[in-house]
Amino acid sequence: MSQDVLKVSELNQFIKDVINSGFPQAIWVCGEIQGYDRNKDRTHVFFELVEKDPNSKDIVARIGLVIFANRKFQIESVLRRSENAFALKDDIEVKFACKVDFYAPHGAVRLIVEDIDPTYTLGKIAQEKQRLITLLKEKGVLDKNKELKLPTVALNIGLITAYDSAAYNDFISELQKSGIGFKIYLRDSLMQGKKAEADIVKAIDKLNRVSALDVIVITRGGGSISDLSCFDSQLIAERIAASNFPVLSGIGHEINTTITDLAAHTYAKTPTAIAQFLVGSVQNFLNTLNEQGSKIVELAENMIDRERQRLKDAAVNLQNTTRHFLKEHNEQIIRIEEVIRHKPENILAKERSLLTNSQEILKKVIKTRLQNDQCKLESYRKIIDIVHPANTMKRGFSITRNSQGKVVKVVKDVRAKEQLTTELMDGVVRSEVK
Amino acid sequence: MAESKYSKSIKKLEEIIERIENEEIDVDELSDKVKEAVTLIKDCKSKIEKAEFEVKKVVEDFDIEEKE
Repeated sequence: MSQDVLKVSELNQFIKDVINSGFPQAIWVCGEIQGYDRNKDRTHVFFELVEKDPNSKDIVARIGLVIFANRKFQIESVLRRSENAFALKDDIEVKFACKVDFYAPHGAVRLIVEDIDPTYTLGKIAQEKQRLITLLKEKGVLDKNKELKLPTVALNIGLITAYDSAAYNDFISELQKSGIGFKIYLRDSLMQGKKAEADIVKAIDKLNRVSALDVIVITRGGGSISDLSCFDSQLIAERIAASNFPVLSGIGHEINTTITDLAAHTYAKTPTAIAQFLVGSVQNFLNTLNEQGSKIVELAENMIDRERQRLKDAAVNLQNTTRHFLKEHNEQIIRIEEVIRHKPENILAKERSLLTNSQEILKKVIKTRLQNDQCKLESYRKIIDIVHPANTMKRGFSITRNSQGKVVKVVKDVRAKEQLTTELMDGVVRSEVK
Repeated sequence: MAESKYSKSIKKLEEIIERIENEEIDVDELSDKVKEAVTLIKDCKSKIEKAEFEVKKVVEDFDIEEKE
């Protein structure tokens, strides 16, 4: 060990010489910016670059930097040339060309920023964003809000933007221009910077408790990629996915689409464009309404014409049918009338002729009967003539009766001395039995 | 549905006619039945005429309304 004793200044000068010879020219260093925001308005900006453990996110190394005033302008112009994609601020990954310097008065190593490579930061931002998009896609977060149906007429709008910002005024004036009665429920929110994410998340939650809403709109004007980086937020995307209302986003940027845009139901590039989308959908509805109105009127008129014709037909039909009906009944009555007019006469005539017939028959029957009787009488008379005793007596027969007047037929009928009477054709002979 | 008076009259008429046509009727009741039938016929005829007139009138009214 050398026995020389150095003063602090001598030591520091020695260290400075060693470092200067060890880092003869500028080197590229990458890391995450910290402590920049609070110093950025100073003439010379002092801040730190840190390296974090990729898993635990704990800081594993840090180093101080300074951008001197003479370099500040140059670095800003480099950033402007890269389309204003981002501005230096805390928490972004950057790649600086630095001179490693040892500031002797403080005894501290620091990096003097000389140049910046914006493509590195852009790449990092893009990479991080892509990682997040893939993750959210896998979780279905980006599609969830798209499943909600946008109301046909979305008039009650929950608006998340900075009050009185250009975005706010563009959006509102576009709505007002339409003359449609939109109603705005404004949630005045920070739309850039570190606190924007939490503010927007809170606004989405609050608006979700307003039951009258049809739709939520998140909008802001254009800005650098890093201005809009707060919209590449997992938290916002998840809140949009959980929202009860469709979320429309109009975050002004020509090149990039933010994760908020991707998670939204619908997105447009500017506040004006998203307002036009809302106006357009209402206008569409009104147009459809008008068309349908005309169609209904036309259909109704057709229907009325058709029904009028049907009524006319029915009236004619009714007349004809009634006529026919009454005619049939009339004919029935006429037929009945005919029967009543003629049939009773017929009946009576028939009855009369029946009577006449009967009379004739009766006459005939009586006549026949009388003739028959006469014949019979005649034959009886002949028979009687034959059997009459007078005629028998004429032929020599006589009738003898005993004293009791009984006709004597056999000898036994008389006794001796009995007086008999014998009837002859012309008189009576009395005799006595011997 | 209760039978209308016209239908009742016609039914009665038809009964009488049937009996007369089939000559089932007794001469004793013939004149009474014929009298009844003639009354019924007159009734029915006037009903038909009235209906015809009214239908015509109603349809004419309808036509007038149509033209208005």
